[in-house]
Amino acid sequence: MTAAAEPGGAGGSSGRAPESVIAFGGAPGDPPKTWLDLIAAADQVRASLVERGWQRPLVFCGDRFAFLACLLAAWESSGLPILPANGRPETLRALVDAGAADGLVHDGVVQGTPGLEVSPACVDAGAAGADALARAARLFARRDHDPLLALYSSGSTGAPSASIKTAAQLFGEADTLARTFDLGARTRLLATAPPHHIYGLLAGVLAPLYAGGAFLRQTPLHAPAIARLVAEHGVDVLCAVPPHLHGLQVLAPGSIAGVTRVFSSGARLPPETAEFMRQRFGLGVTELLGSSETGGIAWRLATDGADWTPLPGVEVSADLDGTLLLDSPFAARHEPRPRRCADRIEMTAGARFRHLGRADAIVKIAGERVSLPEVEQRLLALDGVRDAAVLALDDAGPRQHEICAAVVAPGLSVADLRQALAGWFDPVAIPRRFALVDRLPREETGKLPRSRLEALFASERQDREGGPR
Amino acid sequence: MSTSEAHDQVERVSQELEAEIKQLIVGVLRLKQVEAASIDADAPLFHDGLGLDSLDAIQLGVALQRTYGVVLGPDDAETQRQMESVRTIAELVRSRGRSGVGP
Repeated sequence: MTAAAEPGGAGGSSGRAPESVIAFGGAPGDPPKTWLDLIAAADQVRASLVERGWQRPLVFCGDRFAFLACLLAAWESSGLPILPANGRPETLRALVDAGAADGLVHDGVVQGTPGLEVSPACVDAGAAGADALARAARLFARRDHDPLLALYSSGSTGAPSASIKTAAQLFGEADTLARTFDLGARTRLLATAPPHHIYGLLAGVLAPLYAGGAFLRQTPLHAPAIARLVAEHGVDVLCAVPPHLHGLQVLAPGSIAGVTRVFSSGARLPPETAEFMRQRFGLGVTELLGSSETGGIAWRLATDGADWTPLPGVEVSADLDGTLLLDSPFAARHEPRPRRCADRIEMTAGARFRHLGRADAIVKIAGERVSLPEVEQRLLALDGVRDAAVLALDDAGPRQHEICAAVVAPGLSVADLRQALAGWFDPVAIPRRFALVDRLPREETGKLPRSRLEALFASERQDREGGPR
Repeated sequence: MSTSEAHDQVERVSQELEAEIKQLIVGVLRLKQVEAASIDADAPLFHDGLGLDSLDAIQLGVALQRTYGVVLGPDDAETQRQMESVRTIAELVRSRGRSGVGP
């Protein structure tokens, strides 16, 4: 790994050309967005932040160009942008109310929540100040250890937890991803993973930026939309999560011709999805292993077998009980070295390893971290809920886990519970199965053995009125 | 056949198709706690109504294409409208599918 470089500066010293394209897509007919467009847009958002005195803006955007402009705006005003776990109204409001953020900055995608709506995509590139290009180049060349960004995600103890990212971690990893996977000035990336999650942020926004390439502004979900956008915009890299790849099976061979690399992260890629991608499109899938606290850890080509290779600069070992010990420039620096992770591994030949799963109460569904204790605590906090327990059962389908909740709440319906949770969680995190019971099958000590909890969901006809309605 | 008989038959065929789609939804998404017949054909499937999520939407899209040959899209907003409820899916199947079920 060579010394730090500015975006697009692989080998160059002055950063990328002002007119180079950084983002494409958006509304039909929108012209591509250039590096200068981004800098001008960020400058305008920065002025709004400064006017409000917001040092810690909570950023949530549907348009990745707007998203990046908001981050850049915060950085340019020495602020610390905050990214929420999701865009649900209660989640956003709570972060502001608790003082974690000064206020919400969004591009119109959030409705009914107070905040500053910005339109970075409408800013004229000519508005960029003379020194703005040089300032942006200096910013992206940073590799220091000052806080640069706070990512909120579901913590394993139930309370939302923040991962603070520094320039060394965030920009260092984006640069490493770009170099390791040969992204370059021609890279045109489409991401289905949202940019407010660490994987979507790094692989979907910052890695193409550091490569000198460009990303699609919108975040499509369904295969027909993905295929249309790939063809329309000459996309060559996909950044997805396994269930989104699974959905591509409605496409005919050749419908995503032009794509040469596919990233997948957030959950294990099922072997049948890897095989389908190879057979239908002739594509090997590059899987990335990581989390918001650790940053990227390792990668593998899904068709090459089960072993993971640590990313350049990352050292992985296992302690006696198989816990992953991580020494990484992309993980928080103040942690003891090496850091003990919540993952269990087995070392194999050549510093590679097998991943045996997470050891804590977090499950990942479509790349979204779902903290079972957090869901449980949100249920317990509701008026009328006397007891609650949440567990994840294995699911044979692409979602891989099915979240189930057993709740003691006389007078409340499943619809009431679902509605209350919907203010806090994305739909994938809301239990798909509820059992409304008179009491939970706790032991005398109050302990609730998993087997007893599972038994509540064993019968398919269990609590029929308790369907997701 | 009188006009009202013809109307009744069209009505019956649509109800059969809707019942079939409800079965498909429950089966494909393995909604173990939902009776297909209890799904309201006009209720939103996502968010408020049946409470399905984005992963369900992808799986349902795959199943609709396989079963009825319907083509969704071309963009996500249109796909969301197409899969809004059992009724809108039935309309899509009737207008674009290769199924024999149709007026």
